[in-house]
Amino acid sequence: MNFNLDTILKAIELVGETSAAAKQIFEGFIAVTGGETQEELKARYAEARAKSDVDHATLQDELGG
Amino acid sequence: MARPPNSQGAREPGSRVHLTFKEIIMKKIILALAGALALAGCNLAAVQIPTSPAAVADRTTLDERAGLSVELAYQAANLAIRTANRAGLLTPAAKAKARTLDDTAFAAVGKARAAYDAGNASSFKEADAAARSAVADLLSLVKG
Repeated sequence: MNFNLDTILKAIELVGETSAAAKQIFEGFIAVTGGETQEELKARYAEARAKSDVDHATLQDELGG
Repeated sequence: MARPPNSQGAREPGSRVHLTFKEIIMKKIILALAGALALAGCNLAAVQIPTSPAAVADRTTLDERAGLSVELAYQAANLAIRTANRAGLLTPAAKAKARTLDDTAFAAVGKARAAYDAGNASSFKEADAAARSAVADLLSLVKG
């Protein structure tokens, strides 16, 4: 295995970013199976739509779009 | 997905491939996200037709749950690709393919939204399935 400090720091940075984003997605899945009301689910769905829009724009930008 | 050479220089052709620490960490992250996507599929399966009178009260939330699942599945796949790209694991060719697949998946998600907004159950079911398929195609870039 080959690693150095820069690689470790970069990995920690990516894990931190990814963990926060993945936690948000996971909490969304919890809501899918939970007992939220229709209004609460509608609100969460609207938030998810907005986040997907941002995620799409971000990825396209980072991939050079 | 091409693996970058390690800091010792380019890999010898035909030599055994040894993953760097960064590659191992990134693969673990990507596999975890793939698991999240699989969970999305399970949740979609779990929100089918209610089987008891008590469950009928939840029927009105089925579309919201399915729509939310599609958005979350897209976000999980998007995050997996973003993480792989930020870790430097995507070749220029893979980036170009990812851009196209991401656009396709996002367009499919848009069709599911339109069907939901129109309140058309049959078109929503069709668009929902198409969106999940397109998201799976996007995720395939970083799986295995």
